[in-house]
Amino acid sequence: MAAAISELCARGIEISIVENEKPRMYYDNQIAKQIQGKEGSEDFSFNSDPDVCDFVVKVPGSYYDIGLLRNADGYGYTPVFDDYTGRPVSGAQTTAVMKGLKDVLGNQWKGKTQHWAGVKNDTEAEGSLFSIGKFLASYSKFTAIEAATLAGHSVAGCTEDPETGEINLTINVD
Amino acid sequence: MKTITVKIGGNGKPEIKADGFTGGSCKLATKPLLDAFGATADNSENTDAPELHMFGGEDETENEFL
Repeated sequence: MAAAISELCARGIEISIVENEKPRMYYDNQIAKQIQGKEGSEDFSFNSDPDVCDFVVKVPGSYYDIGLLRNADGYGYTPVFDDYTGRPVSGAQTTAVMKGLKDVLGNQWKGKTQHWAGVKNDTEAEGSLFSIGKFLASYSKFTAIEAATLAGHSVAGCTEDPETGEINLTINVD
Repeated sequence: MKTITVKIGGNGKPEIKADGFTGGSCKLATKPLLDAFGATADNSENTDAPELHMFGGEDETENEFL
């Protein structure tokens, strides 16, 4: 995870990740209120406090965060966030220069959003190559490299398609 | 040469391909990767699981797991 964040920061995508926190959304209990028990909630595995996510992405300049909800099938996480760009809820930390996530990220974001009526699918065109996709791809890459190395395999090469973001990792096995 | 290729989509979804393996050595070699991605032994019916394909090997057959 740390390696993926470092890689993105080196590319100018300044995000940070915290663990076991509530992502800032309009409501303090927004995941419990708007996602858990609603259509699509079967895709996720919630913590005992459903608003606490294993990982939360902090985006500089935004008054909301992105929660990474654990997928119910056990394979990775799905990013969810509140795409509301109006005033943040009273009491939320904000300054005059802070904005909603959509305003900060614009089209540079791909992922599921949460607003008034449950989870909406991709905010941008399918196949877009942007921040959260890059983060998840980078995370998968470093996960594979670590697992292969620990197993005694050797990583022979790694290529990335700049258009699609697709990563190809070649691992040699003795 | 036995190789494993991990193709990671732009959304982070991994697909694992193994080439040059025979018999159970494929599953043995790829198990650490599947484990790392969260795969479990009973995921054969999980369509969202990372995909694993095996190509080549001494008998030049193509097999597909998961």
